[in-house]
Amino acid sequence: MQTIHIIILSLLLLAVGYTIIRAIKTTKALSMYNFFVDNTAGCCESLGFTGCSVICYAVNDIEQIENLLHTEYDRYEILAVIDSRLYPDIFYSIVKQYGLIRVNTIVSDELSNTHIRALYRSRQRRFRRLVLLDEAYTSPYNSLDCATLVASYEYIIPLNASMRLREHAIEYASILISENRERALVAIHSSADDECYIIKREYIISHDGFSATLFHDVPSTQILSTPTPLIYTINNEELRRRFRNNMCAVTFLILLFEMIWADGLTAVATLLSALLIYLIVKYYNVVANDRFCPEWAMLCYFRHIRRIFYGRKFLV
Amino acid sequence: MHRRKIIIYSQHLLSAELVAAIIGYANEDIIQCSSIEQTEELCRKIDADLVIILTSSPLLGGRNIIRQLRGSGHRPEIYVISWRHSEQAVLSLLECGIDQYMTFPICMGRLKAKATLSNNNLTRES
Amino acid sequence: MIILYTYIFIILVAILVTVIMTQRTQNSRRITTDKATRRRVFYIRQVVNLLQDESRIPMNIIARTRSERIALCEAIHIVRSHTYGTDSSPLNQTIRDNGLERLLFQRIRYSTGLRRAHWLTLSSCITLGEKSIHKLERLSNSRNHAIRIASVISLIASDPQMAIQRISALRYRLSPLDISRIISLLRRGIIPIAYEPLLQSNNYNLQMLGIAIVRNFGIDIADKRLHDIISSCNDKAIVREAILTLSSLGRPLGRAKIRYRMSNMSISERKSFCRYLATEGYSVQALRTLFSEKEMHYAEALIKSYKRDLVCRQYT
Repeated sequence: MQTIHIIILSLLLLAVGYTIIRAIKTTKALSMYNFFVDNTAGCCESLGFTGCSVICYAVNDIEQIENLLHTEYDRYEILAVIDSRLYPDIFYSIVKQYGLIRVNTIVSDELSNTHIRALYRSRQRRFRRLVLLDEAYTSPYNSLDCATLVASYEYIIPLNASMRLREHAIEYASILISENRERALVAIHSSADDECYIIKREYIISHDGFSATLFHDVPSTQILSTPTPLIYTINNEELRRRFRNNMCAVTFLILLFEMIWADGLTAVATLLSALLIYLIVKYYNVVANDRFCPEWAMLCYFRHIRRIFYGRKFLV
Repeated sequence: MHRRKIIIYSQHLLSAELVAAIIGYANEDIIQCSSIEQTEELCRKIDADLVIILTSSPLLGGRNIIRQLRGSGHRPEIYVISWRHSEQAVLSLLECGIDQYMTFPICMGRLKAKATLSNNNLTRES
Repeated sequence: MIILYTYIFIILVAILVTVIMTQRTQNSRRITTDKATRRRVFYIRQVVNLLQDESRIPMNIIARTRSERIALCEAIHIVRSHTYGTDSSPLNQTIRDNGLERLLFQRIRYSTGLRRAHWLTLSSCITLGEKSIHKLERLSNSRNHAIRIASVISLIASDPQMAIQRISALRYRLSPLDISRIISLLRRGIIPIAYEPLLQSNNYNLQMLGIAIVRNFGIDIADKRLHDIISSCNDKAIVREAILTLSSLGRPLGRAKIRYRMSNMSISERKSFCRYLATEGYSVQALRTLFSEKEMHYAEALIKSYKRDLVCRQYT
C-alpha cells in the first residue's frame, strides 16, 4: 500500500508542478511578447532581412485572409492554397476581392508531386503580399508543398483554416528568428496555444516536402521551443468541451482506482490536485488576460509523453 | 472659425490621445474610435471633415475602408500615420486614395500645420 | 504524509480561488486600469501643451503622488518616442521638480527582468545626471539581454556625443532588433551620426549600424562604400548584410567583387538570394551575371511568376 501511495503522490506532485511551471513560463513569455511589441514599435521593419511566408491551406473563410493581411511587417507574404474545382465559391470571391490575376506558374524541380494548376497575384500594390494557388488537392501535405515551392522567404509558417495570427505575431517571430540566426535551427516551435511551427524552407526542401515525419531525425537542439503564443484557433468550443469532458472522465477513473486499491485520503488528494491544476489554468487565463489560450495548452503532458515514445510529429 | 469634426482611429488609446493633443481640442471636435466599424459608422453619422488612422493595417486587409468612409457623398480628408517607412508601403497607401501619409515619429508642428491648413482651405471653400 | 499533502493543497486551492476572484473582479470593473490610463492621458495633454507652448511663459506640470509621477514618466516617454523635432528643454524643469530621475532609478533598483527593462526604457526619454549614467553603465553589462539593450539605448539617448564610443565598446554583437532601436533614436533626431565613418570602421557593431542607416534612409550614394565592404571585409554576416542592402537600394550587382563573394556562398544561400532579388524587382538580365545557367532557369521562372505572358508562344 505504501508503494502505491508514494507512486500516486509523486505523479500528482509531478503533474501539479509541471502545470505551475508551464503557467509561469507562458505568463513570462506573454509579458516579454507584450514588452517587445509595446516598446519596439517601428523597429520591426525587415529585421536583418528576415522574411516569413505564411501558408494557409484549405482556406474556407475570407476573414482568415483579412486577419493575415493585417500584419504590418514588410518581409512577409501569405500563400493561400485552394482547389478551385472543389471550392469555387471561396476561390473566386478571393480573386474578386483582392483584384487577383493569373500569372505564370513557377516551374521548379525542388519538390516532386506538386500539382499547381495556376498562380494568382494582385494587380494592386497594397495586396502584393497575397499569393493564391490553385492546386489539384490530394492531401494537406501536398498543398503545403505547392505553397513552399512558390514561397519567397526563408521561413514558412503553415496554418490550417481555423488558425489565426495574434497581433504582432510575425514581428515577434522575426525577432526570434533574427536573434537565433547563428544557431543552426531548423524550426521554431510555439507550444503555447496550439502546435505552431516556423520552419526553414531549406529544410523542407531537403526533406522532400512536408510529412508527418518531418522532424523525426532532427535533434532537439535544432528546434527552438518557445512558450510564447503566436496563434489562436477559432471555432474550438466543441474541442474545448470534449477536452473538459475527457479530463473529467480520466479524473473520475483515477479516483475510482484509488478508492478500490488505495484509500479515501489518496482519492481526496487526487481530487484536490485536479482542482489545483484547473485553478492554475484559470489563474493563467485571468492574470495574463489571454482569452485565446485553451486549457490543453497548459496540460500538454500527454503530448510530451507521446513525443518521448513516438518522436516529434508534424500533424495537419 | 469653423470647428472641424475630426475622427481618430487607433487601437492604442494613448497614441490617439497624443495626436488629438497635438492637433488641439480647443479649435476642433475630436472623437476617438477604437474599431474600424465604429469609425465608419461615426463618419457617416456626423459627416466628419478629417479622419486620421494611426495604423496602415485596415487599408491593407482587403476591406475598402476609403470607400466606406467616403460613401455617403461627403468626402472627408483621410490622413494615415503609421510606423511603416518603406517605399512600397507608402506607395500602397497613397494608391488606396488617402490624402496624406505621415510616419511616426511625427513632427508636432507639421501635423498641427497640416490640420490647420486643411481647416483654412475648408473655411475658404465655405 | 498524505494528510500533510492534503492540507497543503487545501491551502493552495483557497489562495488560488481568492486571487482568481479578486483578479476577475478587478478585470470586470477595470477601475485600476482606467485610473492609470486617465492619468496618462491627462499628462500627455499637459506635456504636449508644454512642448507646443510658444508663449515662453514657463508652465509647470505637477505630479503629487507616486502613481501620478509614474504616469507622467510614461506620458513623457509616449510623447518623445512618437515625435521628433521639438525642443524638449521645457521638460527638464518638470523632470527636476517632480524628481522623475530619482523615482525611475529607484524603480530600476528594486525591480528585475522585464520590469527593470521597462523602467530603463522610460529613462531613455528624460535627461539624466552623472550618477545615473554611471548606474546605466553598470547595467549595460547585465546578463539579461532586454536590460542590457535598454540601458545602452538610455545611455546613448542621454549622452549622444558618446554614442559611437559606447557602441564600439560593447562586448557583444548587437542583434538586428537592437540596431533597429538605435535607428529609431536617429529618426527622432536624438543622435547625430554620419554613416561614412561607421562603414569604414572595423568594429562589427558600428559597421552593421552604418549599413542599417544606409538601408533605412535609402542612401544611394553609399554604394561605393558598400562595395568596399563586400570586397575587403572578412565577416560573412557583414558581407551578407552589405549585399542585401545594395539590392534593397536597387543598385547594380554585376561587379566582380560581388560575383566572387557569391561564389563562396552555399547553394541554398544563393537560391535564397535569388528569391530575394526576384521580390526586389530585378530583371532576368540583371541576374545573368550573378548566377550559373542552371540557377538562371530557376531565377527566370521566379521572375516570370510576377508577370503574365500576354502573347502566346509559337513552338517551332
